[in-house]
Amino acid sequence: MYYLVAAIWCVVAVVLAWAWRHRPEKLRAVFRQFLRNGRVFVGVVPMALLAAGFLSPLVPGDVVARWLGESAGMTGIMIAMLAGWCLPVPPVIFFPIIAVLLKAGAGLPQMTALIAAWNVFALHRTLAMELPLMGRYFVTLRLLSSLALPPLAGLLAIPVARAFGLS
Amino acid sequence: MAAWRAIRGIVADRVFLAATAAALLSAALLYEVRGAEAIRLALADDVRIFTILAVFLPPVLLLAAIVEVMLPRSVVERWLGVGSGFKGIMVATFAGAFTPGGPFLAFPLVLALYRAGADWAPLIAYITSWSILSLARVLVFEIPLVGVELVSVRYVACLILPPLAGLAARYIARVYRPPAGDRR
Repeated sequence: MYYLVAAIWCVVAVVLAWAWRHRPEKLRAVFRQFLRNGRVFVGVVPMALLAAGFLSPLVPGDVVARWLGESAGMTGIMIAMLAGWCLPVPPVIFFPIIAVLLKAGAGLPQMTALIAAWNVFALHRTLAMELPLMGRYFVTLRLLSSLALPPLAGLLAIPVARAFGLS
Repeated sequence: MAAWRAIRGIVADRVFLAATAAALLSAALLYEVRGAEAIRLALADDVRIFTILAVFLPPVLLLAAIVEVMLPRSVVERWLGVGSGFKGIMVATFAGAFTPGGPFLAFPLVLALYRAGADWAPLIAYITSWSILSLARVLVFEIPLVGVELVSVRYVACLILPPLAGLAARYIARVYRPPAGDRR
């Protein structure tokens, strides 16, 4: 984790140095965008994490492990996919939920299917942006094309997790 | 008082209020069921996560902001316009993974290309890639909140999904035809 942070700081330093030399007039806009993007991490994210931290000891581990655990196999992947479809929440709420489930004993392939289903379906995004901008045909075509993706991702995650030594 | 206005903007947000209510409710529930010791343990765990967030987020957000401001739209447009064959799908997947920011950047871009006559397959692959593989979202939300283990497995398992969606879209669009006059 901390190697990753160091690597990212190095990249940021290099890019900033380049931007400072070549596009100094854009640095103000960069800073403003940084503040705008960062706002949610000052308010919502800490609160959501607190809630997730308080809830995770209450989540019944045996229930989660039975339905979404590694041993739930394909059934677990399908349940996870349905759960991903039914969660039209922004990422600040979604990922703390995943963290709670993971701690309660959910399997990596099942969580992969859940995240993929949430990403593909993303009702909050589809209704707010995609449908009004792109029209019904585009949305239908996209959903039809990616209907099979979440279970496929879950199945693919089984050998991947094994190859990483995580199952 | 710009600082005061910023604080008010954060606190008066609806999602923030809902999350705060959820945090208070769950704390009360945990106290009722498990007692004060469980609260202390949960808070200790939260401190660890907050430390990770505090180290990890500032550089990532800064990088995302730089890319968002500096990457000209025309570059992505050029990547996506390369063609509609398999190569176009692969390039669209690549471009989607590197497009930063929320739906306010990606969808207008796709709309512009769609009106300009781009093919379905790369556009579907691009949107799918942007939603599943977006590096900005993975770095900003996923790694700090759920940890590297799940993210690495998920990312590798999802790598081939956008091209598959693009290919599927090409064949589906032959059977399920777009309504006439849909491209305004």
